[in-house]
Amino acid sequence: MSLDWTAVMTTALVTLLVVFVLVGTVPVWATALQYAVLPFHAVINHYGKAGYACPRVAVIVPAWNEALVLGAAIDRLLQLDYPPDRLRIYVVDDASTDATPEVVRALALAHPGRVVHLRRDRGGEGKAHTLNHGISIVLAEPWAEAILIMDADVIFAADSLRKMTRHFADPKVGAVTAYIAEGSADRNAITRFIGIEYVMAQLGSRRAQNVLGAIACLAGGAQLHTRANLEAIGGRIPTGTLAEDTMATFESQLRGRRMVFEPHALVLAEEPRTIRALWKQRLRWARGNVQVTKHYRQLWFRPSRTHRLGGIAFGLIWFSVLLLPVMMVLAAVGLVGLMWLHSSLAAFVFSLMWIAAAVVYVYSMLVAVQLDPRTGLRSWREAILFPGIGSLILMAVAISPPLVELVWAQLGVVVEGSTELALLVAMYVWGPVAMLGAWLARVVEPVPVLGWLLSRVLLYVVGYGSLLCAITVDAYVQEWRRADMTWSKTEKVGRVLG
Amino acid sequence: MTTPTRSEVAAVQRELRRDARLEWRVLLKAGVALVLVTAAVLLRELAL
Repeated sequence: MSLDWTAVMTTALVTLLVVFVLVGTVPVWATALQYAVLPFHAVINHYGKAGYACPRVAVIVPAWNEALVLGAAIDRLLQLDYPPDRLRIYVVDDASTDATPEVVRALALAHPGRVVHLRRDRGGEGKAHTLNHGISIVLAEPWAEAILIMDADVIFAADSLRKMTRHFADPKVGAVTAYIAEGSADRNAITRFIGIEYVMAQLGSRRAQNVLGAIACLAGGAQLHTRANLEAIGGRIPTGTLAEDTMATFESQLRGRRMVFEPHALVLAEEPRTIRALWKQRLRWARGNVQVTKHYRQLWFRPSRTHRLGGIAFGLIWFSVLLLPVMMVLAAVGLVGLMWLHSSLAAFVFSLMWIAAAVVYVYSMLVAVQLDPRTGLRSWREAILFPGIGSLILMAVAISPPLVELVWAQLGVVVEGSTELALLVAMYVWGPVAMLGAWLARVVEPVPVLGWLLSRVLLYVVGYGSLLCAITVDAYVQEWRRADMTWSKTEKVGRVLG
Repeated sequence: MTTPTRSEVAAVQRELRRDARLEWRVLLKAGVALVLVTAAVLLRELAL
């Protein structure tokens, strides 16, 4: 009996292509996992071990040309519901060239002993270096029992610090982070998308990470460390990558300390208002994550008794974000390949993939908008259009093929032959096409007259997720080219009213 | 850290209990979302 090698090769290739498509669904399952775990935060949380804790807190505010926002942020810190004698604010002025030194000096004069001005003569080395300048001064004295690292533009709700410190009643806790919400008074499409993203990524995913026992990142805008924790990681924030907050989070957990996300501690932040500004900020974050992944390459998917960062679930969540563009391209390759080799199987796995995406998207978004109803209400359009109009159409196609045929019939369009083939290819390669659309949105945004409108239309069509994917691809390229790692600051002008 | 007064400890415990109770609402909200999604899936199965 002789083997039909053509049939064997075809079967092997079809299997491989199906695997490609299934790999493309990994981010969907990772989201499903997080939102399935999330409700368990009702019972698996840290409130049982929290209690009264009122450490002496040194707040470190890195500031480089932050004159427009710094005053409001420090005013709100001074109004925190926290004993004034147990709170000191150290502003590390990173050789600012605007009015930052005057603003800080005036505050230091008005609040002697409570606001301290630390001036670096040589700046521009990045946030981690600026923070380390302040941390070294704070740790040189025994006064501080906890160190709060924040951004110069964020506004802390009055009870936020108190809600964070109570977790320090448990000596196993090394650091606590808060819910950073988009807080611009005058919102636009970009800030509304960011608002929804933060609800999903923090109130949703970070709660799930609390349950799983591994936190991916303590937000750089609100990171409260115990003195012991900061000293254990070397008394400084790790430099060398663009994700200094993630590095500090990982280093703390590797030493067996617990990190806690406190969803009821609210901090408002001003976020980018244009695609280009968002791209700049997120490129830094995404490239930082690529660097962190490489730095901890011995860690992934290797469970440990000391920490949970090597757990399967955490690895799945981490890589589903980091490799999302790769997975989308793999899914497109798989679907197009299957279309030629086994068209009915291609149609089946396509439906499966998009039905799963639709179910997980609707469930996670319904949960998310309830977690922060204010953001949900003011950003309802962006919540609905979060995956993009293109993806919503594909979900409709997968969920109800007869509905689509009805639409074509109503429009009087006959879909057959080359038109049908072109439509199928367009649907199968939508993921990578959407990333290209997001890149195009960034390119056209500054074009006078129509650029702004076209970029917004493109953004709503391709979706916010595709924009983040395109930025991640840019991060791969920048890292591969070993591009310059100069710290690029996100411009803030004081739009948060609090 | 300082030695707290009894009323300070009680206030923190009250706040912790309130926030812990709020976390049970997350379970409820996830339940609502799950019911809605399940209903939509069932409707789709019935319609097709």
